[in-house]
Amino acid sequence: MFMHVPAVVAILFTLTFLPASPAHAGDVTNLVRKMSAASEQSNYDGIFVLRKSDTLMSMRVVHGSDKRGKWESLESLNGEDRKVVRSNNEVISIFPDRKLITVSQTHSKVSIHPTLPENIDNLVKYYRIEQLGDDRVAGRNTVVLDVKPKDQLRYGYKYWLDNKTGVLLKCDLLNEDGDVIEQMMYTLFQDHETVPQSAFNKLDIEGYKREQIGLGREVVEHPGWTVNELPPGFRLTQSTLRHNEKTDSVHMIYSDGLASVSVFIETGDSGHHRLEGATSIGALNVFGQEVDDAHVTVMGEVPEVTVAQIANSMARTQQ
Amino acid sequence: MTQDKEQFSAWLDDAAEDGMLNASSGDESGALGLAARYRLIGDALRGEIEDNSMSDISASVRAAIEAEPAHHVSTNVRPLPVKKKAPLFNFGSWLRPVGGLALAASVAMIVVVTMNRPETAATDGAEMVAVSAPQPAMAVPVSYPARGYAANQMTASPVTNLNEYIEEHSEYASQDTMQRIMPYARAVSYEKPR
Repeated sequence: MFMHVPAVVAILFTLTFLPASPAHAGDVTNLVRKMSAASEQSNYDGIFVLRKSDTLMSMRVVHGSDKRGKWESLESLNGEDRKVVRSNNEVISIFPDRKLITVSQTHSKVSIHPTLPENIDNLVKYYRIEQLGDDRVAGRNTVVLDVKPKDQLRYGYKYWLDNKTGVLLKCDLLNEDGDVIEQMMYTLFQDHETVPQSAFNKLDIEGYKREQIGLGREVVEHPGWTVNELPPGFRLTQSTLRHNEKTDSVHMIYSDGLASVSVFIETGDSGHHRLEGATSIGALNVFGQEVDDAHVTVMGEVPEVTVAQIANSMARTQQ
Repeated sequence: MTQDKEQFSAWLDDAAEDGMLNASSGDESGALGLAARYRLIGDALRGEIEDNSMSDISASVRAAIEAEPAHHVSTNVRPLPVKKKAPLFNFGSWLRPVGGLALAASVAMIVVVTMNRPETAATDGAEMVAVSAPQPAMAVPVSYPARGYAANQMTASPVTNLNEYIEEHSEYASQDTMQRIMPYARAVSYEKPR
């Protein structure tokens, strides 16, 4: 009997310390696809915390989807009281402390290129996606995905996906050095067969000011600008033009499916001081500079070098 | 139409009889139909609709917005005039366009520290610009010893358009990324300057 002990120990050691075989690429992309679909189509509510830099916030989320469309509400549980309801393409923001409601129309935001789910297969060109194993988040079993960029032009992610629904229950955003620079994690999560009712609690809005925002934007297919050194994998997904009294501004959105970068190009004199150089706000990097007679501001949850590269390679196109 | 609006205002303030609501149900395209839609929005926002349909809320808001005359668009927030007692649904002051303040996002007045361009790009050792907001900020951007950026002279000035840009970026990013909740949560987490 004792002669078998070394063998048993060896087997146990092997089972314990051998790295888990990485999931097949198709498996992990299916998991990402499941996450993408779940974030839109599932019915759930819960509470999550969001850590940005040295700030920590808690929010209650309710998400529903049925034949009438998709809607979602987010309510901050610390700091200023505010609730945002997004219903299909409309966003209603409620600020009880200020007795203010803003309504934003987003129905004009038509994506130029299909990003999801068609673009998911392209992710493996720019990210190395591995399944790390299982974990528990908010009392639920999750599968953990490690998403590492293959270049220095984007951040990495770590996803904890709910086994049952595929909903993203925890997310780490990691910088070039692998340090966590932003975190989201559910502390309470419940999925539902039907649309949860908790978002429809009575709301007293008597005496609130109302503001409509976001008017004046129009979708343009050819914004008149291009990025000559666009990081690989990023595609122009949306482009809008806004006319103001003093200025015209173009907003171009580029995405690789996980990260988004905004390019704002403003012509005319707005009277604002304009950013010259680089700055960062949490995980958001921003770079601004003059190009020709316009001012370009590039921002996104990507490394500083990426926003700088895009800003430095902006050029006008011939109309 | 002015007279109609006065009637609506009275009705919306519950000064008129509720029977008008019923009368409006068969007049969707007319003025009373407009008033009924306005009331529906209020009911929905107060959670007094049995249907519990946020899609209906959305449709109602859109109808109300489309019914309002279009005003010029500005990039600056223009607070609505404060009345002694604002009727709950005096839509003459409702949904007034104030473009440029994007949605959900409540973006903090930002204390921005900008760096010089990379030395390779700098031509004359351009001054470093430090920007400070006139009010304390909830979210303070990280001022970092950027790689390739040299600290130099600092001056102060508000970078006001960055707030709008961040709001718009967060709003759009939530539509174009797979982990949609993240940019959406970022947008909500930003503090708007008061």
